[in-house]
Amino acid sequence: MNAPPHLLLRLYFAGSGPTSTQAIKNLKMLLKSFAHELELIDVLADPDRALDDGICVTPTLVRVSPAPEVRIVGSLADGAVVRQALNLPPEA
Amino acid sequence: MDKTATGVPGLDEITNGGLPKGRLTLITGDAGAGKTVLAMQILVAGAAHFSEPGVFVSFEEHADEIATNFESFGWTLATAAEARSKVSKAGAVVVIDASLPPETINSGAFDVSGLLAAVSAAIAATSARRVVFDGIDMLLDQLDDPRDRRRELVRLREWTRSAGVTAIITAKASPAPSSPQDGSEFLKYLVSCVIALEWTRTTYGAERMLRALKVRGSSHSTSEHPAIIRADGFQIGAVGSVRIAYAAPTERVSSGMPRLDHVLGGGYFRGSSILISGAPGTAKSTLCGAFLDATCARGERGLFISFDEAFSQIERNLASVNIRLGRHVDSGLLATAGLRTGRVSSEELYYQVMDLIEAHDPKSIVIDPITAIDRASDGDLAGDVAERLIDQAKMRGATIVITSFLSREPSYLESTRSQISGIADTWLQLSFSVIGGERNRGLTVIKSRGNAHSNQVRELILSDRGLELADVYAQGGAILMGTARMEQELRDQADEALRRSETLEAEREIDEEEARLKLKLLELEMQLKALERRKAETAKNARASETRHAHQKRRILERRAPGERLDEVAKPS
Repeated sequence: MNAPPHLLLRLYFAGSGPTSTQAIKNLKMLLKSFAHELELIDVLADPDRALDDGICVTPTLVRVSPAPEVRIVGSLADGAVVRQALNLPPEA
Repeated sequence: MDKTATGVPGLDEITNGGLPKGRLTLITGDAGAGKTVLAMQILVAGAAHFSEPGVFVSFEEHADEIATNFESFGWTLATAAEARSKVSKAGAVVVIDASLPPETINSGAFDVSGLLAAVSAAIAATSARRVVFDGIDMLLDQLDDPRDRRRELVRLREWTRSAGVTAIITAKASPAPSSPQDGSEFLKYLVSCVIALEWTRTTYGAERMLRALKVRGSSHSTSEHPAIIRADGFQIGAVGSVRIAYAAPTERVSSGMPRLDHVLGGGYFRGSSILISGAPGTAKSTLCGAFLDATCARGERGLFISFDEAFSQIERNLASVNIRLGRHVDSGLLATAGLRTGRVSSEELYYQVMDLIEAHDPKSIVIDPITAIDRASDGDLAGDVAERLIDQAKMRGATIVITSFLSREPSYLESTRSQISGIADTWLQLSFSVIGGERNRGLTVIKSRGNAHSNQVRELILSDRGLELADVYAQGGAILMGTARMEQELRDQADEALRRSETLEAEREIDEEEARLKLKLLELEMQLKALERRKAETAKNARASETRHAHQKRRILERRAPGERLDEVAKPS
């Protein structure tokens, strides 16, 4: 059996805004048992990056790999939706 | 409150100076109303005319779709990266694609603070003063909680103030009357200015209306204004909000018919408006042609705009009454255009006409028939268009003659009719009168501002010598024209002759009687004389016979013996 593909995620957030703070918290909870790589991008600090990446809403989580790219907007409040979108195994 | 001019033709008049500067404006309307075009145009005009570059944030369409949509307008767009690296053209509007890919998954609340940071960066890179958030309702609809939606709108407003930019958000109009808690209603409360666009599909195309529902801290027009999207963007008819002052005309120009000029007190007033109404075939176009013929003969420029009839056809008809406009076309004094009303709105027609007027700068304008615009409009728009065309002509000091199929009879276009006829300075009514199975053309001056005039019907005669206005022939309260007029004239002539001959006859009879009587008198005199002669003769004879008797008696007595004489015997002594 092959090793699970490398999970690369990017989370675009806006400073310490409530939805951004919640999203970071929710995401870290979801990912704690999975091997992953997470890039956190504060749009307030690097707005050009958001522009170039076509990100307009914060927070936005992007699964860069494995392909295809998946985008989830919002505070990632619904864990089941996020798991399904990222194709993570259901919570044990 | 400071305003910033939009540069959109008509919009600044309606809003009394433009949009509130550094504040939030909402453009609302149904899908297809033109919200995106209007918003983009305000950015383009800002960059082109007011040194206010713009950033366009699209929530509804992708950047490539926007590029395609605005290609035909000739508007220059750029990406944020292009603007940052200064490779974009001057005056280019920076487009930020903020549309969510359809496969985007939604989980939980989000906010626009990241977006606003990105927009701030684009503003910093381009010195933008205007920002459009196009279709923001598309994004906010993704928020389940209406409180979240309101919170983000408030965030947007606060950002606008702190960024010091004039921001425009576009959103669909709410489909039904809704509570202030509803997103779109809340938006109207939130913003400083609300522009509503409406459109309806008509038989011949789209009819658009623009209304300024709210302009905080300023008076503004609240009425509906006809709007149109042309090749270079929106044109909004600012009728009603801008009253145009023009000098009252005093100079006269010829109508092309000396008799009509006389009736009107010297002709049409220069710079006035003339409505010629009448049924088809009453020679409205002919009167227009005569007017332009006179205009060009004076060496002034004229413009003949016909609707749904080629000018060549009108020219041919006019030639039959000896009005030859071709020479004026050749000399360049007369410009002509045959416009089609099919599939264009009355607003579109208005601008087509205005383009022609601006290109030729005529002193005399004919629009034949103005009522063709009705066909391109469902409502009272035609009247508005006519009114605005008249205003535009007057502003230029041009004399404008418009024709109308409308008659004096009440019609379904009553309001438009009264509107047009109310605006016109002079109203000539052409009519047919059927007398003795023959149709004749009549001309009535119904209204003529600035001079006394007769309301009597005159006969309009078309012949190969030209146009003539014949005297009114009134008889027993009826107006007679054409053959009936001629017949009446002949009848009257005959009556006169008869009267004369009757007099002659009577005189002759009297003369004859007199002669007869004189003859009789002569006869009687002769008879009398004869009688007198006989009488004299008889008396003479009688005397002669008496003398003879006496003589004989004397001779007898002389022969008798004395004493035998009877007389002596008989005579007692």
